[in-house]
Amino acid sequence: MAGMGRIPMINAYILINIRVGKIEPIVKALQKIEKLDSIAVVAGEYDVVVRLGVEQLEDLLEITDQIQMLEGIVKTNTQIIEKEIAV
Amino acid sequence: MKIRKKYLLYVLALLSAATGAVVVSIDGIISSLYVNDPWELGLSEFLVGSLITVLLVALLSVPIKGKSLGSAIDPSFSGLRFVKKKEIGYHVLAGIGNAFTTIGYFLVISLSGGESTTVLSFTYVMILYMLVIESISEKNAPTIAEVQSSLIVTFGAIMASMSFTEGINVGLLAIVFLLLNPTWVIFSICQRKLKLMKIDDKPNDAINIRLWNVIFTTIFISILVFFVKPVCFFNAMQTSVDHFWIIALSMGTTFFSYVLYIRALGMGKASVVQSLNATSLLFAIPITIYLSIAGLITAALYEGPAQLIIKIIGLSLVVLGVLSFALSEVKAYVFINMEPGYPIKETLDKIWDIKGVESVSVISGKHSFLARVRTRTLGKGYENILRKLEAVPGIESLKWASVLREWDNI
Repeated sequence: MAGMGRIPMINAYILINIRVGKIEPIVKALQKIEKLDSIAVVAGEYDVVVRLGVEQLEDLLEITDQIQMLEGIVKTNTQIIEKEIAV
Repeated sequence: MKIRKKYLLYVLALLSAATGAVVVSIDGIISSLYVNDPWELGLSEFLVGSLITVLLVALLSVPIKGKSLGSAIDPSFSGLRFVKKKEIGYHVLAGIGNAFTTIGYFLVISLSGGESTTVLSFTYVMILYMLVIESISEKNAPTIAEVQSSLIVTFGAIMASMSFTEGINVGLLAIVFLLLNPTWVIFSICQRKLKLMKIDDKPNDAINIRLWNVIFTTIFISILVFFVKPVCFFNAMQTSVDHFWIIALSMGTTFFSYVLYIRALGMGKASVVQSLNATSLLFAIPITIYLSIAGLITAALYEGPAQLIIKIIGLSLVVLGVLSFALSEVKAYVFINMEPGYPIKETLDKIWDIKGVESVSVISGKHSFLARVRTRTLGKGYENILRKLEAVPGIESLKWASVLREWDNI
């Protein structure tokens, strides 16, 4: 769940592909980014799925940029949530 | 990530567990010292409880800086509100379920001499019932791990309640298995359905659900007691006045235990919170020993070393069973792509209706939907989720990505 006390207006998933052997250091670096709600290492087409909530698109750009600058990132794919139903 | 918040989650869940143990202990004292009749006590708890809950919810509705005080507990809460038409059916069923559960609960307290560890361990037997209902209603065969956990909890609870001097209390077990747990399952299912509802385009809030549940339960428990034991109906009115403060303490603590639990659920994973909640049994042990020594409950907790060892083994089994049940789950993301020409909103609802789907998002980009799913095993994930997703009209392709490890910003 999104962090309490802040109401993000834009929620998004960033799907990340990572170079072999770089998952661990990248996850550690991702953990330091404040606005990420969850980080999941997954099996399949992508290596890591990140969920985040920001107040404006500018912040999303900033975080995507921050992630892309990490050593070992092959590709990021940002998917903005338009509508959501959740428990 | 702020580590402080992580500790806050643990503190909240453990506080909820501790207050839960305190509630059962207070009820044990009331039952042992003041009101031994479970019908009378059940009704008076809800008569006093309605008043206390309305007052507490009214307090939480006070606006501070444009937001209600209660929104700090549940962000969806914006103040006390009337029950909506679509909620009534579930509130009625939950109220009936809770009325019977309450009578069963006080019968167990009365028969166990106010011994909270016995009462608490029996409440976890609900897992077994949930599993059986799921197997019958959804033709969903339980996994070995599920059967194992639920049997560990059930046998643990029976062991924890055994007494060498009084033997196995058949009446107590009958109430637990035939009244307390089946009606609790009805109550829990309805509560969950209510929590999943959208009210004015926002998720339903736990505070109003709790308030209306207390009110509906009071109505049904009054009817039940009036027809089954009319004498107790009138006695309960007097009891509510005579023992108002201690009953108010029990129901007020119940409210905070519930609220802390919901607050913890909002901050972290449900499985972790539920596991931590099972520790209420461990909190109950010292409280029960103290109450027993102080003579505040009638139960004789210690009958000799053999009985004590059996009790500790039983209680440990219950905690372990709940832990393994809550933590053995597979989570995954499913990336879904749609063919053009199908309505997005209807497809979203069809995906959401599949059991095991925790959240589903319409996303812009490479994929059409991203569903977050939870299942007991990968085999069940295929049977119950993937095959059902494949049957949704308009879905062109599906990609399953099992979560290997994850971190939440709690």
